[in-house]
Amino acid sequence: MIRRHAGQSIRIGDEIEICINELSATRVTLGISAPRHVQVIRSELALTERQNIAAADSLTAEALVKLAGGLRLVP
Amino acid sequence: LRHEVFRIDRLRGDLRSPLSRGLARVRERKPHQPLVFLQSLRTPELCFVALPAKSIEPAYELDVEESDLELLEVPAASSDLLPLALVTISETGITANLFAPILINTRNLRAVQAISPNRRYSHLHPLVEALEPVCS
Repeated sequence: MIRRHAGQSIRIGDEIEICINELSATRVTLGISAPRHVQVIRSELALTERQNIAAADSLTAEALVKLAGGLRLVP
Repeated sequence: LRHEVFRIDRLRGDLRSPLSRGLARVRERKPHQPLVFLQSLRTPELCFVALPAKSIEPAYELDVEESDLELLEVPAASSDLLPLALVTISETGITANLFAPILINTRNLRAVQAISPNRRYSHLHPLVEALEPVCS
């Protein structure tokens, strides 16, 4: 755990720097410098991407048969 | 996330995909289910099965970022927006992603996958729990 004020930054290794640009009661704005090969995305975006791939991959003919048998939803 | 153009099918139309037989079976067995089939027109092998969020969670409330509303070209969360939850079928069960629903503006047919700003709903919402008791 590292405590920082707005305007201060941290470094991860030699190539990544995260700067605390702005602070409000509920949000923080970060400035991130990283090499091109390091992907910087919001965690929930990564989660959504993974779940989309799982959803698309799960859609096989057998899975649809399971869906036909298993789903009983509120119409 | 990339842009895709999807055809939306209420599991009624003619589906020319490798999954068509399975889909036909869902359609035959569950003619009244609100299942929605999303087929990419640009990437033929990409498709999803989705359900309207309200059919899963009747009290479902939209939780959407301002920037997503701008992409959908609506000023505020309105009844023109149809939230669809993508369905994942796995060994352990069937789940729906209520955390990042596909929001369709039914007026202009623009859609975005709207990641909720809050963690109120799960990306692995179990559908088994939404099942009605079986009456036979």
